[in-house]
Amino acid sequence: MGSFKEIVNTISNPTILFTSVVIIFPFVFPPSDWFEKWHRKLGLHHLWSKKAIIIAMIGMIAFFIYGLGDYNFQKIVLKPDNVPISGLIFLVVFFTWLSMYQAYKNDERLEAGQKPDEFYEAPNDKVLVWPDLVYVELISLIIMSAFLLVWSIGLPAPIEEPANPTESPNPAKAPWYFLGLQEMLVYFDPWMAGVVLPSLIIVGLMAMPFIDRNPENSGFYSFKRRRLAISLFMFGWLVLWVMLIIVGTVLRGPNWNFFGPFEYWDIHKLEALTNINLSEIVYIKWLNTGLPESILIREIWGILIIMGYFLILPPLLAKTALKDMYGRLGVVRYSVFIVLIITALTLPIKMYLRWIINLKYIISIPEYFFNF
Amino acid sequence: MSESQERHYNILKLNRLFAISTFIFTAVWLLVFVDDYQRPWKTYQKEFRKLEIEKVRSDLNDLSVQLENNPDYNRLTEKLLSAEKRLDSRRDELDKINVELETLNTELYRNNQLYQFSKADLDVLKYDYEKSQFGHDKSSDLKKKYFALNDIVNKYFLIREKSEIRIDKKKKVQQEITKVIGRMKGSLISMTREKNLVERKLSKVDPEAMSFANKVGNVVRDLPVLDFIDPYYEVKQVVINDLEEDLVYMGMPKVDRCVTCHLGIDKKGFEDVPQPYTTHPKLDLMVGPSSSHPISEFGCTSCHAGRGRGTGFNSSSHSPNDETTAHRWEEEHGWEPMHHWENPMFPKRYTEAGCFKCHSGNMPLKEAETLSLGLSVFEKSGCYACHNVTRWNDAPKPGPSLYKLASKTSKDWTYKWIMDPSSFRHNTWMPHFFKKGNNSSPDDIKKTEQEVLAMTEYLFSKSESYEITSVNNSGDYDRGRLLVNSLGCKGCHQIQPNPDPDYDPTIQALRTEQGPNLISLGSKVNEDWLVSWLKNPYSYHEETKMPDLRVSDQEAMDIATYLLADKNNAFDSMNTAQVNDDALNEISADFLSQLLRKSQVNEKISNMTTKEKLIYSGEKLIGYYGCYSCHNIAGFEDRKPIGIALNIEGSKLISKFDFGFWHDEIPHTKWDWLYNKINKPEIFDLIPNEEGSVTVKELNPLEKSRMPHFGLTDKEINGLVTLIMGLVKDEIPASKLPEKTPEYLAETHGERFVHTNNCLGCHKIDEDGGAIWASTAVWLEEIAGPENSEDISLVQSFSPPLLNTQGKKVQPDWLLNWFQNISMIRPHLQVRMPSYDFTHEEWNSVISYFQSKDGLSLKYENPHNFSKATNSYKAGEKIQEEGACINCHFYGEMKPRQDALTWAPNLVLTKKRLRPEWLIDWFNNPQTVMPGTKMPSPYIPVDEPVSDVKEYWGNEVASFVGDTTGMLYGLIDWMWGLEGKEDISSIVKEHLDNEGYGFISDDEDDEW
Repeated sequence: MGSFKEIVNTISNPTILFTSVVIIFPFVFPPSDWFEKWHRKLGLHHLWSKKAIIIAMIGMIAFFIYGLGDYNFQKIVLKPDNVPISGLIFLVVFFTWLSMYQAYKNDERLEAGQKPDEFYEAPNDKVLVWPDLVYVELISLIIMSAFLLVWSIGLPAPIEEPANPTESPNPAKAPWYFLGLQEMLVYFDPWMAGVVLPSLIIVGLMAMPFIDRNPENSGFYSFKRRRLAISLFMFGWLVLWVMLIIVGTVLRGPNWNFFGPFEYWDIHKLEALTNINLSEIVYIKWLNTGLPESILIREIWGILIIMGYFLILPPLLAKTALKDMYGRLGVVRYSVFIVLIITALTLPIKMYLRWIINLKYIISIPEYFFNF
Repeated sequence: MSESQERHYNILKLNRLFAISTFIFTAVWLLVFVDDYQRPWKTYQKEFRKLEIEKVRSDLNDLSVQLENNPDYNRLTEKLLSAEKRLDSRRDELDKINVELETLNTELYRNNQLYQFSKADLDVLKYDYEKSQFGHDKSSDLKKKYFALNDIVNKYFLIREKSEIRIDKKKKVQQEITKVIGRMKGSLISMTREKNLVERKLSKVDPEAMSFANKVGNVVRDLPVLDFIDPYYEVKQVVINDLEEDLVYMGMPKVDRCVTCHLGIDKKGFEDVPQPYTTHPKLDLMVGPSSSHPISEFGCTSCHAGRGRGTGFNSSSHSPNDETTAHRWEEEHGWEPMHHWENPMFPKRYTEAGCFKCHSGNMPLKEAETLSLGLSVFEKSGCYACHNVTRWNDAPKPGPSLYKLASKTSKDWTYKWIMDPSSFRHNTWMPHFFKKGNNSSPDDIKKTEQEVLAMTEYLFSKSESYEITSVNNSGDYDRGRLLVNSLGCKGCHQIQPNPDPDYDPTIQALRTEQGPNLISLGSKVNEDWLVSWLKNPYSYHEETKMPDLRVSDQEAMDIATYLLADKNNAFDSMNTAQVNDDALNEISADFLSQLLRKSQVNEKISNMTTKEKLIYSGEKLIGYYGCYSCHNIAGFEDRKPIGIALNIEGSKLISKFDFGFWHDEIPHTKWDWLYNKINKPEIFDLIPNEEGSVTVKELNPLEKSRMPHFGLTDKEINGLVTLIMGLVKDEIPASKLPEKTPEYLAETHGERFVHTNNCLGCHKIDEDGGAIWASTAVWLEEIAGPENSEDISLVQSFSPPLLNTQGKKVQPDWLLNWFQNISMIRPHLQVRMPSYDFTHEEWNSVISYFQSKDGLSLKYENPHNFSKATNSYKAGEKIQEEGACINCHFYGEMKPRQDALTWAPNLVLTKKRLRPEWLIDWFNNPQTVMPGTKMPSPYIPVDEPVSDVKEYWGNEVASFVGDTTGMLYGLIDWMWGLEGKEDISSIVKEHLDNEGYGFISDDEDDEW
């Protein structure tokens, strides 16, 4: 079984894990006909059946039980702060499945000319506040309170050592819901990862109803008619947010180094981190000259790339691949949408650039605290 | 799924669900209380309450039995009974009085009220009347009214008084009747006071001894919710406002809740009950309210460390003393190390670490044996030489000076010694730098051989010349042996050829290791050097602790002959390595490349001769290994120590200790790290393998751990760890420190001086010290046979004197003179007080140490006045005659009557040397002052009739009958009048040469 642990440790490596997730993702949540075809061909639509969730849950539980036999795994998973994350894994899987199960069911009903499952004929399309809403809420409240009491008795508050400015904990971790943002710090300058990108996430969430004004399918689960919207959102939510939280919780150890779930958190573990900026690659590696004095000349290549990415790519896409969408959305909504999407995509792009060519920053102007 | 119901959900189902959920919630809510009630400390408190009830009951029982067996108590109770019986006959009378008193009291109440009311009216009227006197229209009407009322008030006053008088009278009669009984009851109460106290205590803890109301209260006070008011079971804590817990951002007052479970810690009588109820083992020193460290002022964690605010076994951060305890704790308490508290409790073996932060100035620390041993070992091993600790900033280097090494020994010896010191001297304090775990590979050894050669070369090339005084006499081995055993050498030195398997390191044992173990000297030094050294150690090394024993040329030769006869053949036959240029180049290159580029290094090396390379790398290596830290070495006078400073090592964060690859083998605690580091300093250069073997890390030559092996025992290492754990940065408020009075400072400074210079190697002070006694016995055995050497009082009499009451005993100015110019006091002694080259100040600090210890302070005193014409003097003369002081004491050149065996100081010296007040104590009871002394109390008439005294002792003594002190002062007067020769050394020498000591062997003893 030792080798199983080693395999898990190996595939937990971010390059492998992230790459495989990115590749598999569109087949699970197909955004287009082509993927849809393969989705069906590979039988992935069976994922959203009752059988699948039972197998998945049993598999996950089995993995946890097996893992708890391992000292290192146990230490990470059962740490009182991390218990919610372990719960989160199960909940996210379950609710993702539930919504997709419901969506697929509705898709079938619609295809067969039926109304969706959630449809009620008037006057039954309305329910009474009492008892149908408030009573149920009250019962939930009581059960939830009981559950929280039991939890707090069973797992006392995880108090750590008194804060010490000269001795930060290693690894120093953000609260669990911010671990995704903290993960971005590895690849971005702090003001990007800590200020710009989080703000854009909020702006993006606010912009969503204005961009996607399609009234179709409101009020019930459905996938088929909104494939692109759902799979884009799911990518942002599951891969760029939830997965990064899990990675930050379970797989990031001392010195923010990467550790497999069955690996000892050795503080002495080293990773070769010799990252260089784009300007150094261009001028020193390729052109074999020194870095130019002028900041502008030095960083011109990075600036050109970024400008190309943000200014040329959107119109280009509007003319080619996303012609239909451009037509549907109009200039303003299209621009907002595409800028948000390609900004979100900078994260995986940056990750790969880091892994492949040790790129630190595309634009690096430390003189003015500007790095991208 | 359409439903025609009005409601979406089935209301009956919801009701059921609601009911179930409320039941669940209620159950969970009750669980909260159960959980609160099951907190471990509550269980402990309940358990302890049982123990306490048991204890108080048995105390009460003991006291009752005691009272029952007390005849006074029994007599009194009997008397009381009969008195009460007698009183019965007057019962009627008493009853009548009581009835009358009741009526009278009612009357008084009534009369008093009449008076009070009228008085109140009068006061109002008085004000009205006075007001009416103000202004123009004075009312005479009011005036009249006022005085009329005044008369009435006075009348009522008198009536009230009469009632009072009547009551008093009755009461007097009543008291008269019950007086006897009252008195008896009073004395009974005072006899049973203690018992009553215990009874009251019992009624507080024992429900069975409570009144019904209290029984109810006892239950109610601990009920849920109500228990916030005044529960019996509660978290108990000690808050100490001026001791602060360092929480980095701020200091928080120390709050110790340890007493919540350790309930018996400050109570006597729980010594034998199991933890956590056990009484503190040193209640008179710690915790107890009358001890010097009461719990209310010092708490617990200020000494023991740990998390005082914790109320659970884990949250208070206990530390097990050994693995067995750890396993037991894991099973019983689910114990695990608490990672989130930087100062876990010291395990039992290191508890004394807590003493050091306040008592760092002392040496030794009484009642802290482990720590004192640690301090001693720290000094002996010279830890402070490489690792700066402020306390030892002014301490001299622990090793001998190497300035004049060439005159003392050979290169060959030096090489072998550096390479492997213990092969020459098995218990040397010189540590092993080589052949350790991280430099023992064949390549390493090849390299270290060259390193040692280089260092030897450097030392000899820099050695100064030393003028040796050669002596032409020839020495005698046996005489030398006797001298070494009798002169006092063995107060500081051992001669122990083989390791002692039962060696138990204690401060006392370390005293005989003040100087080196004097074995195999024949393999090390030459005769001329040794003789010069013995005759004047300071000429070889000014700072040496070796004193001048004023040996004659002949004595020096004898001792040298004896010591040099011992050789270490195995050591002599070891080989010295040959110079290997390649290895030497490598070593030089390692150092050169710290400054130069590779090409420059090569160029430089190719231009150096072999000798130059040796000396260059020798110097670098001495700097690198830090040899200069312990030894005086030319060229290294201003170097800083090579080790890290240890001043706040105990407060260093655990994360700053690098456990390397030993995280599974070594528990993650500071003390375990320190223990392993000291025990095997290179351990963290090694990687443990599964089979128990180790691999050396990939390290550059200059990256390896340099700390050498000291070959210490477990006990010694534990002492060192205790000391290092005590080196903390805690700020201690002055209120918690011993008060720094001049006496305290003199005493602590003196104690340290006495310790540093090993005075206790020879002398005993207050039952401590006297390491030399064993050697005295050896000498005695040789000259007088085992029957004498086994006589401990004889051993004592031939050992250096006890220094008890030294401050009270001698006149300070005499002592100072004597220290600087030693002369004979005890004529029978062979052992010599050495001549030290201490300064005036140093001697003064020794004298003020003695004085402070005895509560004196270096004051000028009037000389003792006497006259030969007084009765006192004449009585003294008679007493010395009758007491036959001359049997043992010299009177100037007048020799004692008895053999040299019992000789005692020349009494002519007394007037300059001793203080009369002390002499009185001394005469009164020599054994209390100097336990084991052979001095008897002088014989004086105490209880005899005056007439007898007149007849036998003469009129002068008779005039002092009943005044013992007066007679003793007479003796002192006589002594002060005694004239004669002070220096009797030549007489003594002549006597001893001709007649010897006159030891008595067993057969002769019978005849006595």
